[in-house]
Amino acid sequence: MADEQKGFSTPAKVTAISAALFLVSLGLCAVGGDFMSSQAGFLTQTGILFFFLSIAGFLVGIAWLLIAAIAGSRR
Amino acid sequence: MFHPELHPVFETLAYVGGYSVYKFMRKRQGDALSDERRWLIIASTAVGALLGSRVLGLLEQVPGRGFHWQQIFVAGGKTIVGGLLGGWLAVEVVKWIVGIRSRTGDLFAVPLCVGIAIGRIGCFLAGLADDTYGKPTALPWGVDFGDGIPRHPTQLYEVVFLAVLAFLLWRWNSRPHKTGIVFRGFMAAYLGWRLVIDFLKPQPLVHGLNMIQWACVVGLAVIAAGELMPRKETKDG
Repeated sequence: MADEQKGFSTPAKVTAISAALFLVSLGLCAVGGDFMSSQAGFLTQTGILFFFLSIAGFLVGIAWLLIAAIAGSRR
Repeated sequence: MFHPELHPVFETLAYVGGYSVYKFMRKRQGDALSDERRWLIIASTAVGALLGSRVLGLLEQVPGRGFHWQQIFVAGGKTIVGGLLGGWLAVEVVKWIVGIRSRTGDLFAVPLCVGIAIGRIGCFLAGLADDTYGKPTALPWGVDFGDGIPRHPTQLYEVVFLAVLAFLLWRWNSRPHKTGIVFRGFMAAYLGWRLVIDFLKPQPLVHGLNMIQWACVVGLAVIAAGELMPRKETKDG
């Protein structure tokens, strides 16, 4: 069974980091929403950047995991 | 003194700090799981924590502000209790799918204490912008978060509680123990703590408890039921 999970490590890392990035992006955007100063604008922009990076990371990580699972089941 | 923009900084430090302690503990005490399986567990924890934290964060706001679908897309609204329960549930589902039958959470107990404690410092420094402050108090250590009213610094109470809990769990984990019991001990202690400390927070109540406390009750009931039901332990690689 353990053989079926070969190659899961990297996509799992990508998925885990994306989840953490998503949570941070929510926090950054919430702070930006509360305080509309120039500094908060930077925080909001960073939050939006993190948000899209995390979505991209999720898509890549989960697709990669699926491919690794299919490859593992054929091994 | 209070700067809401410090909250995401400490949140990031919490993830980094928690992960560093996990790496240290895994190297020190070893791991029955392979790297591949451990990373699957971590990824499922992270995704489950994200969903759980967001769902309970939104539910928490329902008694006070009602529910509107647009809130799903509004930033903020995350809870640690939702993250812990969501992460735990996701891990159990993924373990069932990939066929891991052993308990896997002991390595996470102390890192979670460290991560949550660091995050709580950010909650404290965020002041009134973060909904984690306590009710007004006349006690000498009451903190004015900016509205002129001394309040219980519930975030700092939690930091102290987590420091003590981390020390106890570290010692427990260093001694021979039944697999999984340290993580369940952490969950029971933290959910029990939140059930009690949230009475000091000015949150809207539903039948005497706030939504986070109701989630704690559910989590504690699941832990108690798990202790009463026998479980066949196996070794996974």
